[in-house]
Amino acid sequence: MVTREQIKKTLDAIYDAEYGNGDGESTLADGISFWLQNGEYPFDVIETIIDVVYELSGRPRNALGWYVEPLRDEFSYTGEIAFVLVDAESGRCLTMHRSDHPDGYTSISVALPVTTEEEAIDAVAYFLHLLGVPVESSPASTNAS
Amino acid sequence: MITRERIAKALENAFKNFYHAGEPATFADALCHWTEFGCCGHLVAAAITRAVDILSGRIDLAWYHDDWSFNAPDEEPNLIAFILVDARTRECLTLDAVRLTPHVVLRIETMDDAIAAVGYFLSLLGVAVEDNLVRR
Repeated sequence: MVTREQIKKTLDAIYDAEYGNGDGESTLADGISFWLQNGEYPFDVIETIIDVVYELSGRPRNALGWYVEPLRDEFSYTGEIAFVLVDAESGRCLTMHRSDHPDGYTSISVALPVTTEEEAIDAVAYFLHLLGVPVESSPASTNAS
Repeated sequence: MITRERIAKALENAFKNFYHAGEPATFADALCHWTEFGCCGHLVAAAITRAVDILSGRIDLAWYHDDWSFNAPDEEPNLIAFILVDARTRECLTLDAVRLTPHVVLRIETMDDAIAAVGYFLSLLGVAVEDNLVRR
């Protein structure tokens, strides 16, 4: 069982190693804040989330195909990121689902909010769940149920 | 056999599904807006995918498209990323198993480009299209 604390530690460790000085001072929360304040493409945030999914799922780098789009309104990023995840071995789209739209069309992407580190942890937990990795449920989902 | 004339008609007919007052009235107009101003890319992409739905007769296709008006380099304009999934099997038909990308990126600047894009997706679905329609 992967815990949320484990996800947080891995997110921060990878972010610090790849985008900070590697001294433990930088966290993913810094990257998210910078993205939302400066409006530049959040390459570091996206790559960190994906790297952590690989790390904690144990899946090799050639096992998954990703498409990622930080969503925008007319003026700036909304804080949501759309992800499409495909299992490269089977060719199956793992993020496909019936949408909430009244027409019930099939969507192949999921749009996840990533405005805080907690939401980034939720995103990683969601992808681990899709990959069949048991993950500790979030406090929010526990309260909701 | 699907001809280029039939695809051109399907694109215009498909575009009518997405028309809203104040926006380009035809697919050709939307294409001009996309290439000249970098806007309406989502309408161009939606018409292409809808034309594929219509011409293939498939009601079980799932799409994602992203016009790269914000994230393409300046020297690479008019690019649209498409992902096509067979919703019955969940198979991603646009998966590039070598580069590990689920999407294809197509440059859509002219009606010929749009027709070639539709032809490409039809060929992925096993629909016969006119010779020389699909660029490889």
